[in-house]
Amino acid sequence: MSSSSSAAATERDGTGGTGSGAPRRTGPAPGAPPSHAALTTEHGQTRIADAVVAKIAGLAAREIPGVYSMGTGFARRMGQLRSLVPGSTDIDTVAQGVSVEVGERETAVDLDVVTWYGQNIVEVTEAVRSNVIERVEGMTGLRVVEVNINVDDIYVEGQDSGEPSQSRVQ
Amino acid sequence: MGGSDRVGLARAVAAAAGSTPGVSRLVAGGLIPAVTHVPGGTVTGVRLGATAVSVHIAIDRFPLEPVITGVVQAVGAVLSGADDERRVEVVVEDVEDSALRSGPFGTGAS
Repeated sequence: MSSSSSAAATERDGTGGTGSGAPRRTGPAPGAPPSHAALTTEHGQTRIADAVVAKIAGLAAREIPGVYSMGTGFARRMGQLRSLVPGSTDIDTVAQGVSVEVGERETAVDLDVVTWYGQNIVEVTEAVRSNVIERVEGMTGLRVVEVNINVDDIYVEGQDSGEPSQSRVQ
Repeated sequence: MGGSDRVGLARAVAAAAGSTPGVSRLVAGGLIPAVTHVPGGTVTGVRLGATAVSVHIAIDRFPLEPVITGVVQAVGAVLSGADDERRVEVVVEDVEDSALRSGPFGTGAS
């Protein structure tokens, strides 16, 4: 460490104005294509795919108890169908309702969530937003610039039985 | 405004209010429960609003006023420690039965 820094110092002192001499390997090269990496070191770079960020965001949103389900109506129905197929795994549906955009150092997350009836929706979305930001930033190192949440539907308990079978009057 | 701030603040407020003398427990109460959602669960009886932090409590002694003052002071200390300028709102949701038996009403009756 000390030898390299002293070597760099002597190079800087000795050669004077030849800053554009040998190409440096450290740091992003100016002409190189933008790398989708949160971490670029002199020994290589780390790429984080969209699907990874989407899964982390989906799991982080589901950690909040106020989230009943995720995805738009059509996606939720397809997810129910898919879960009936033997051999399918829950992992496929983790990223349901999540769309992400991953840039070089930043990411933006859009979520479609369904909450329970009888809750403060603002409270739920605030909890989801802060947890998604914390998990994504903690696990990937990407900076989350925004988390947009669409509350698509609200789940009323007993809704699964379809139309109310009992008539309102006896 | 990180996630841990929010979760930590809700837990700290709940701890401060719950350990105030005279407060038997925090309750969600109401039609819309006063809870703060945290990963994997909820903090009961604490709602972090935009302008006020409301704490919903059940009280186990009379008179109510010194208990409420104690809660406001304890929660206010937590908020000022976290550089939070929101007001403190105390909602007395319930009174324990023991307070009714042994309090001023109980002594008068027996």
